[in-house]
Amino acid sequence: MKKLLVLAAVTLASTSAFATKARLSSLSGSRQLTDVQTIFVNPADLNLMGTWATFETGATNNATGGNTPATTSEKAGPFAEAGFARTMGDARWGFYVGHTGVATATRLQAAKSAGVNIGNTTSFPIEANPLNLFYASKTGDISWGLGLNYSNNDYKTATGKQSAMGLTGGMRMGAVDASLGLGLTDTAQFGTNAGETKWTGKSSADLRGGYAMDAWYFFGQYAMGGGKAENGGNTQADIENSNINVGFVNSTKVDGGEFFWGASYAMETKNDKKADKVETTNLPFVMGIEADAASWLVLRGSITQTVLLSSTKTTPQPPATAGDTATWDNNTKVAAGAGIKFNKFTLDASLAAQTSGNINGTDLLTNAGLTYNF
Amino acid sequence: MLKSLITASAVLVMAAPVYASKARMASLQNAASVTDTYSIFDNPAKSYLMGDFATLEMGATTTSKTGVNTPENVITNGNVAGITLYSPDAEGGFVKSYGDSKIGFYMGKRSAFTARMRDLAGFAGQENPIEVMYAFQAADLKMGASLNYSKSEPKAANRQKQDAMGLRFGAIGTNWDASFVMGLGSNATGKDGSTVTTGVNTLADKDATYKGTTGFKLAGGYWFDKLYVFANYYQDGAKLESTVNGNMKVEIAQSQYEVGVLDTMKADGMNFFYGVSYIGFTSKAKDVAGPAPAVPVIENAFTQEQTQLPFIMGVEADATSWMTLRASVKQNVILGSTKPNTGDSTTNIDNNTTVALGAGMKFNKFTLDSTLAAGSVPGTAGSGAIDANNLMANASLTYMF
Repeated sequence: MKKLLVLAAVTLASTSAFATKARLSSLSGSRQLTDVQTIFVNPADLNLMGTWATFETGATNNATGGNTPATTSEKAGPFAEAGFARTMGDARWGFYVGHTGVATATRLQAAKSAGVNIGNTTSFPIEANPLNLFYASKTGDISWGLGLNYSNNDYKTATGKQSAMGLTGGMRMGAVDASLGLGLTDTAQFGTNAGETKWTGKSSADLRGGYAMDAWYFFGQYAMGGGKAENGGNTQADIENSNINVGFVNSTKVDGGEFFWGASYAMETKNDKKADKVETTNLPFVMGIEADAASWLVLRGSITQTVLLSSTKTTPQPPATAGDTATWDNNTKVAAGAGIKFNKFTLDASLAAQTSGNINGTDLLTNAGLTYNF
Repeated sequence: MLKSLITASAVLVMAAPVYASKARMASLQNAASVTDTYSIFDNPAKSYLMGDFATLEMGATTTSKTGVNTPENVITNGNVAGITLYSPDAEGGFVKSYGDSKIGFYMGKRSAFTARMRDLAGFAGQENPIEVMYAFQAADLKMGASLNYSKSEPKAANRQKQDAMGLRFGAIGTNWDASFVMGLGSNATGKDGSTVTTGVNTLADKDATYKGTTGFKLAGGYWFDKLYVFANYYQDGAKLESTVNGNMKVEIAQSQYEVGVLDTMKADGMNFFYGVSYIGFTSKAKDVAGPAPAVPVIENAFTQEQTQLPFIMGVEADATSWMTLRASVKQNVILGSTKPNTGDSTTNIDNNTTVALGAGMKFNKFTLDSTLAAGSVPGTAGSGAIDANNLMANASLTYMF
């Protein structure tokens, strides 16, 4: 292993920086970035890349293994997922497995509202064995792409069954990009007979647009979604979410990389008509850098923090009275990561030190992903 | 794995400037003669002593601790047994040139005094602090100023609201530097149950208030060839009012002066320095009102007189083309006394020899800096061990444009 690494450092060639979840996480998911992972938002991004195969390491994200506590609406990762993209003439197509989307996130939110654990027989199964199909091409100056996500399974036990499907479409033309994601179906249930609990997702949409002007990138987003959980005719959770986000990023090219900074204003509403309505606003500032550290190594890091403006207001359902509008808690977050190139492979990971400051035998790399660029 | 990467990088990476981060300054005992990206928080004009940079200090998101760079010389209280005042918090920012000017923006940097004092008294620390910096030059004179700001109001049960603001001014010439740091306000109200960890006494209840009093720091230095002579004076304080244990009131006033000299020796890729400084520190609890037994506890906790004559010695040098190693020692010598509490007699300074080690690994224009866990850095006792579980701590990543 040692010899391989040393030899690789001397011999391998520089490869594309397109990589994995760890890369986006290390750069705080800044909106001007394009990556393998951004094709889930804008499939037209496939046209910006060559052919690749990517593998995200982690545990199996199945409905019976997670047991996410009721106090959180996010499952602890990382989870296994992978896919590839190929060229077909001027077009691209891709296939991906294991990537969960908004349906899983909303079901987790409902489970949190109802105060039950996810990933066992007392709550909704999440998207199981999901798959994504992509197709992208160019028509004149327009680069466009389409994506389909699908997951359907029936455990035939008290664990229940679930189904989710959605479509995404996106385009890039010169300095402009736009995308729309639509949820087509989102249903789930668990329990049996009289104890059966049903989840029916509401129409979800995620509309995004961006405009690049020299070093500046301006973007906007509107997203909505939700769903209803019912047991024996009684509504347990009735969720309506909406999110508006506008912002900008300034990017500067540096040797073998990019330095960027920017800010955005986000307004989000999460309304569970059977529990609380949470309205938040936030003005996060982001700064990040990604550059070649050596011919075989890319280093990257970023920081985000709320600046000046932030608010959160929780309004319980009547007859309880609304809470006060409060500011956000301290949320300075530094992320750092590395991409190690081995010929056409890139091994990407986050530095475990990003949350502890320690680098040692038990704190080195995390959220590893391996990408092969053909 | 790590060893292989380091070995490989030795062949490939290029030398880069060694300006780095909190870990570097901690590894060099925060020596006054050392210039670093972190120096801009003492004197914004020192941004001209280095190139443009972006720096990221890794660590957790916290509200009440200060980073490892907090100078040990800034003493806020002598009665801190059992309280951890340091942690490698997340913070970062950048400084870039625009023409002859420099503009900087930084997030997560907290005032050492405010963070310590509030933590000791059970009040919330600065949340989401930001700092905006501007520097410019006129002939050989470089000047800079920065504004830092933090405000939060959680409006939740057992949570405090707080605000803090301050200004920094600095100037440097060909062989001198001067700076002035001024607090513009520091307030906190109410109890935060999650952060009341004081070993002194719990002052902060739901009606308690913390109000900063006049705080400033004046500093300057002059280079006589290779000899750096420096002096600084700071004073800071706070008024605390609480209904805990009756209606308690106390005003804490602290001041400190330091004069010192450092002899430096520089050669290709190497910087060696040694020197001493004399420090006088005073902390007083004034206008204390309230019932016993809380009052004597507060008085004792915030009353102290101390003098020190710390000797420091350090070296920083390129160990290879891709790595800089640094080490330093600090110990009080000959003179030094402390009178920790009211009524106590004056005693000598306790044994306080500390050795700090650090490393900076250069990857093209990146520098990955850290302290070596084997050495002593503020808040951590040196173990002397270097192994898989005790290797590097307080890591940071800096990119020099």
